[in-house]
Amino acid sequence: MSLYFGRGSNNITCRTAEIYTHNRLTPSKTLAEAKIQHLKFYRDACRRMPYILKNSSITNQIHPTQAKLNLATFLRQSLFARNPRVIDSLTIRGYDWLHSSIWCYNHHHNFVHMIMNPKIDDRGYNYLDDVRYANSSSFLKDFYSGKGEANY
Amino acid sequence: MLKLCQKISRHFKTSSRLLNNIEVFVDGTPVSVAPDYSILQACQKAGVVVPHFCFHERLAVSGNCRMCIVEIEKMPKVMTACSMPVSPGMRINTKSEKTYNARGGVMEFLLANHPLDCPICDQGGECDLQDQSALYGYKIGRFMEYKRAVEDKNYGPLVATVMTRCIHCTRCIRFYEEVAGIPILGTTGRGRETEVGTYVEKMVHSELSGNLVDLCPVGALTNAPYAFTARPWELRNVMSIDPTDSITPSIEISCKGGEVKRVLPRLHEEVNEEWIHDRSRHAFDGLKRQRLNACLKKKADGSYEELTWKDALEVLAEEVSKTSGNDMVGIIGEFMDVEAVVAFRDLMYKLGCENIDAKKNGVKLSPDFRNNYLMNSRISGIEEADLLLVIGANLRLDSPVINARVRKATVLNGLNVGLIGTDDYLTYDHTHLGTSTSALTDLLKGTHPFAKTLEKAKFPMILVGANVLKREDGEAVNSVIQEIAKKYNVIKPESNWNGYNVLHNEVGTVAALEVGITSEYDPKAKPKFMYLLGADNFKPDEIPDDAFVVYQGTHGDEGASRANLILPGASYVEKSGSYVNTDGRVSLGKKAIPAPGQAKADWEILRALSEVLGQTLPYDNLQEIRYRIAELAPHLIKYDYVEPYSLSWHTVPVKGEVNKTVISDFIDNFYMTDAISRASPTMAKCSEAFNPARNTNFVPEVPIR
Repeated sequence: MSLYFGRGSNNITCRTAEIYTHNRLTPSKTLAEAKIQHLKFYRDACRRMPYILKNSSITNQIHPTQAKLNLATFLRQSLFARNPRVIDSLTIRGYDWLHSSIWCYNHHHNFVHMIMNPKIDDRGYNYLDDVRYANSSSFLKDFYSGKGEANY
Repeated sequence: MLKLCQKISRHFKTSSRLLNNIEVFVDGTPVSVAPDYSILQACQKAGVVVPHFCFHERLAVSGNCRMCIVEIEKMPKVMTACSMPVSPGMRINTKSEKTYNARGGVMEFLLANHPLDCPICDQGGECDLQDQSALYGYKIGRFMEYKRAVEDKNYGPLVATVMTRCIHCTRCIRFYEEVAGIPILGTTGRGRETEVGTYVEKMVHSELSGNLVDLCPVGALTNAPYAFTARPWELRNVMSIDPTDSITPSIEISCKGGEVKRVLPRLHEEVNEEWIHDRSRHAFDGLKRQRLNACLKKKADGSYEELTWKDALEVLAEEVSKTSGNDMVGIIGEFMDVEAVVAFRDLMYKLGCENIDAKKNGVKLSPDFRNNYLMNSRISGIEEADLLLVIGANLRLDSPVINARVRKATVLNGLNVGLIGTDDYLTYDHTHLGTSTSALTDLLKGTHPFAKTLEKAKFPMILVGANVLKREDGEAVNSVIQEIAKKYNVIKPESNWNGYNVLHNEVGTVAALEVGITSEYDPKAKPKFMYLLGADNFKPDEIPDDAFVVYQGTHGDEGASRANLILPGASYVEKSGSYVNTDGRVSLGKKAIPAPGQAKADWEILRALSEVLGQTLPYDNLQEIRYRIAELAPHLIKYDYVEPYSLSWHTVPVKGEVNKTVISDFIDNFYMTDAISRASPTMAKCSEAFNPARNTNFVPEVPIR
């Protein structure tokens, strides 16, 4: 922990802007290590979410709790990654985002899709549909799954 | 025909010079206008905007807001453009300093007593006074006195009043007097004390009252159910039509997010002019209540089990496969679009079922020729006719918009109106010929006093309410009516006039007739499987107790309560579809919001079901199904158009015995006639507020509707 926060502080007690001060993102050797780093990033982002929303003046649009849930949904879209280096790169990109959001280098327009309305898709699950609707036409598949194009 | 009428009316002008256009100059630009134009109309023709509040194209000119004043050369003072006719060589100045100062002065007086409450006013953003004060008003105020305050009036639950904001344009007064035909409003007091209202306090009520909100140029009369829910700039507007009224008036659906916020009328001269009735305008909030949003299957104990689409269609397919085509019956609902009707027809025929729309209370009409079942003189034909005989329809309740047009024709063209059926205050003078079908037989014999009037008429029009044709003796009554039409020369192909008209009250019926669906109800038949396609107004005794009933529709109403399996359908604001109105005009309804839950467009459900049944229908999207419609009836893909057809060919109805019973009044409550309006809280409020039993001190001799 000391490597991550330094001076005995933790996720709650560290200052908002102290992201990179003690946090050295070292390349992970195993999948578990990479996942833990990624989880830490998520916890960091959650810890700073009220601050980010306040800085971006979007507290009237979304509650921090909902923003955290939305961010989780957004991050889950990358769950398919199994290579530690890929996960690390996601973590690094996450910290970049967090850092620039905290220091107000990033306009909230650039990340509202992450915290306000993350796109929820069925990546990783749609193979079930192929089995379930095996003998159906594309119309019926769309009808059942509700994915078809709207008819105007 | 229209040209002929215009030609005749031109002969009544006092001088032949008036036939010629005259030239006037608007801001130096020459414009050639008809001699009966007002200055305001001339300016409009020249493309010059003249601000106004009290002037309205469809109302009489009152000239009391004074906002439209313009300078005219060689006249000592500025004149109101709306009430002053043009004269040859007139030079109108709308941009002079004199006009500018005069307008500013008028605006200053209007604002002297108008409260500055735009931030809390519902008209904000679409207020004529707000816009015009920004453009034409002085930028400073000099009025330091107190503003007046006026007590609010009771215009019913649909119109919210803040009478302090009223600028006395008297549009509402003129609307009630001229269009709605209820001369109840007026001004009392003078100058600062002027108030619009009823002299003796009374609730104002008309089936067209929602139009007051559109007419009011300020925030004095606002849309009460819509109050404070949205600002106009937040709304997304979809141009659509309303199939809940059989004339399919053009409407604008305003949505915010996934919710319809309000419905406004659009201009359509040949259909609704610019009016819609209150049910069209306000019943949409019923689309949020009592909705079916999941497939439901009734269990043995009467409770419902929620199913996925896949399971529901499989249950249905199993039930269908058990039944032969002859034991099936399909009933088409009131608001069905042509797409759904065609898909339903195709599917049922594929299953070997020909009992489509075989209803006990079905309209006894033949689909062979279009003039058997349409309004052949068109809605606009009311203004060309000189006599109108209404049979079995209370126009004020059945179709208030048509009623407004009839009223206009009685006032402007001297239309003579006769009525057979329940008499009521129709807002214009009319002759009541009788309440029962015996009046029809008397007319046919020529013994009725009205027969002579009918004989003399040049362009007579007979309007038959569809409810008369739903009687058990519907075909026999229709046969008598056709004979009357023949005897009194109502159909004149040489003058391009067919005066035989049917006023339908369900667009679904017209769509079914258009694609040739007809079948007779067999009282002895005991169907084992019934498919209710959005049908809620059916007779419960048509359905045997042991029949398996499928209801595909929008609301948990009559149909769903009887159903064994419920499939959620999309309502008219949630799907795109074409509808045929009582005129034969095909109009396009547009999707405005997504359907709730699992609900799908009706034709999509039928298409999916067909595939599960192994009888796949050959269309996958709206375009393909419209090709299919075009195969059956090519005129159904020509939108906002009435395909011409022969006026003389028609099927002769079979003669029969006519019951001499009373033609009863079919609408007991104007505000609740279908599943959507029955679920609407606003319509419930109206039913309570406008219940005639509440508004009278007298004990009724007969039970009040």
